[in-house]
Amino acid sequence: MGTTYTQRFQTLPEPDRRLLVVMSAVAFVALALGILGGLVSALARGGLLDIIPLTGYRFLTVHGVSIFFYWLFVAQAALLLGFSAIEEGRGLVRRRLAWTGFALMLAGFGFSMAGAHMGTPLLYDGAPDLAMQAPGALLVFNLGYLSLGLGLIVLPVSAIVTLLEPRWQGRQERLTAVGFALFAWAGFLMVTGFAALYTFLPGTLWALGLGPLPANHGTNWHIVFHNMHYLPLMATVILWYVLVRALTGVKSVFGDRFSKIVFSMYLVFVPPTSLYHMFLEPDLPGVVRVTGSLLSLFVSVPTLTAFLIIIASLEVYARSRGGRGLFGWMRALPWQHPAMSSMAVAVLSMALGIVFAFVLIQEQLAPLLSDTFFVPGYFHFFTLGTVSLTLLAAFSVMLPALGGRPLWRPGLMRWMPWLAFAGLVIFGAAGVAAGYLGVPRRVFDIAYQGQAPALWQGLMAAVAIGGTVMAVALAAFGAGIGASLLRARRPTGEAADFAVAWGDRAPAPGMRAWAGPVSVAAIVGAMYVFTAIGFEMMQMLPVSAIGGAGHH
Amino acid sequence: MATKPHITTRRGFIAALGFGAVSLYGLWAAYGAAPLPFARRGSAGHDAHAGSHGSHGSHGGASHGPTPEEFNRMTADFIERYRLPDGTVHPRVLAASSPGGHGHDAMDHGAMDHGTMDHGAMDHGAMDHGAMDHGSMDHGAMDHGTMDHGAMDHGTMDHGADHPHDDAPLDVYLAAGMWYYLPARLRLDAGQAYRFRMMALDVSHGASIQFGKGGRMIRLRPGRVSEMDITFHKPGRYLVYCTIYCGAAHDYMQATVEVV
Repeated sequence: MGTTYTQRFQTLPEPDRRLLVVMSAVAFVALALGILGGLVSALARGGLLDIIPLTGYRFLTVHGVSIFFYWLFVAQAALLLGFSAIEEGRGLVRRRLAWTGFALMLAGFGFSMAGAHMGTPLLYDGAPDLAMQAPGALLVFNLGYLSLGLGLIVLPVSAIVTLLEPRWQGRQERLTAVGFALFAWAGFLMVTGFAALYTFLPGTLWALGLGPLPANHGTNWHIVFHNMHYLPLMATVILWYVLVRALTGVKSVFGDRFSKIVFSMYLVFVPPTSLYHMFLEPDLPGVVRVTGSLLSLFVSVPTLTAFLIIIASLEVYARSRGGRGLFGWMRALPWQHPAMSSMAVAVLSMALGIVFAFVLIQEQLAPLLSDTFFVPGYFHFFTLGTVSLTLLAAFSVMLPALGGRPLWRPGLMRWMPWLAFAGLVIFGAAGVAAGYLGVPRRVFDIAYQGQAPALWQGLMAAVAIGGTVMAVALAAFGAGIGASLLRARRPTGEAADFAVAWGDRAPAPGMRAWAGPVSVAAIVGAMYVFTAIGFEMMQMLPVSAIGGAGHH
Repeated sequence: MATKPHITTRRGFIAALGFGAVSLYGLWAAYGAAPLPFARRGSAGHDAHAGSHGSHGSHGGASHGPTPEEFNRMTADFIERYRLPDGTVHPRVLAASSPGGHGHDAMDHGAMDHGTMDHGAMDHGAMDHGAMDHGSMDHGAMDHGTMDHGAMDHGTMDHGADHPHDDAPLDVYLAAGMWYYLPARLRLDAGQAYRFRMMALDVSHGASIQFGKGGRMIRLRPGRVSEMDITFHKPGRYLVYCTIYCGAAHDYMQATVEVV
């Protein structure tokens, strides 16, 4: 087995490499469609593209479904299989299961895209009551999600068996930290698959005439949605962990066991915190709202802890090699590799995303912010800035090593994440400000016959400009990395030429690592500021309101 | 040269720091948004958004109530009663329709048990709330959860004198459908408390009242009555829009609240 990740990918059996390349290609197609849908939505929203709202909703549906379900999950599945295959270096076990799972996901993609173009646009949550006049459209749409769910249940089995087989055969005493993380990741993908079935099966049965119209689709959706957008964060920190090792050779200075505990914390802290998406539901009792807020305070624990492990380990190694300054040691990181830029942007985006997520988890702020543009304003920091750029960073390591072309123009590519981040900051800042001011999400014409404040349109124009910049940068970055899907004309050299090898020497004892703690302090401080802004704005509203509960 | 690990590279320190965001609880408590003995409860905005409905502690429960069709009819009655010549609906205290009319001024919404109250069998047709003595009625124990407004006939019901201008909220009905609100134009009095009773009639909708710098929203689900006590403090014209995507003309679903 090779010693570097690149060498290990290069020595995978050809059938494994073929599967990974095909899966990656489908993931990139989903990304491209999603970016197109998002770009059109942003331009229309900002008044820079004149389309009727119905067309806008169709593009928004394509955007949400392609990115959120198929890009994020096909990409995760491909990377899970890839990194599991090289964990011991012998390739995938039960490859047919992996192909079967992928085929189901691909079929799902086809159904979902067809469904997105039928009947009333259903956005990505597919509310059955919107399909009362056209249940056939819901059927096709939901078959996509059901097929994706089945694929997410089947495919990770191959990764799990691949990871555990060395133990079963006595070649390995225990899973490595990375192996354990991949194992947990596979499990979470399967749970997501079951959640998708649970959420979308009732609507499918209704569309087939085999069951009643699901009354609680909204609640089920919020639960599955919460897990589907937080669990990719676990994949993200696992990939940071892996990529840091690939690019610098650095391993955690806290030991494998501590990392395993932190990865396990996602299982404990993420699922119970889904209540904050439901704070505006009329049936949610007051005590559940308060409890939901309190539980949600813990949602960041695993992500922040994993971030601290990684950054402290890097800092200790960097300082051992002469790195200086609170953040100055970062200059020694391998910035020439686009994956490094991607990870840096991902970390910054995660910090901003967590700050704003913690404003939303306070139930008393839900009536101010919950269904406003604050939501897309903040979650693009996660979906695009954090998760998508991390997935692309991983692809930038995996694809060239699978026998494709070397990374296209890495000197140019490494700036694309920063350009995307610039667009994201404009989009996010304008979106969050718009949310505080009450601009609704999921509306294309926000004029409201002249009744809306003029400032709203200005903020949406800024959203459109930021969205365009980040869409163009992400598309360019994806295309550059996707070019490595093509076969190399000549054998590729070591793809990680830009990597540094800090891991060949143990760090000096007693090295300090303040960058992580200072960053966390800044994140928490920002949470205080933006939460206080929310409370102050609530207090300034010229209205008193009590209640919000409902009854049948 | 140090041989011990620096505190910043110790597991305990890192693990503790991972919980850093939990400290936000302190800020919540300071704004009265978290359950602490010293917290200034209810100081977040003007709200006490606790899911329970002020004194209507049981409103959070889901139970029987009007169907969308019945709620639509109740709303139509409400509009008919309070409509002004320009079409705006202005719920207000009307002149008593009969001598000796009693109000709800002493009405305690905390004690009345709607749980056993079957409005279905009630004939409100000739009911004159103006002459009805609600003075001793205690709504505190009122269980709206099992209240059956189903066959309630509000057709000729006199709401006029049932809510004198005092602390008792005036009822406001708001129905949301694809793609309209009923009533679409409301006129309300600043300083007067209103009890909004809202329902989505077909698919899920929402209602957000916009004040220029922020708003206040609620989700509305089909077949569920959502209640909220609202008092406007400042005159103005406020936009109300739907917050939940509800189909092709979602963008155009709006209403206006004019506070005078």
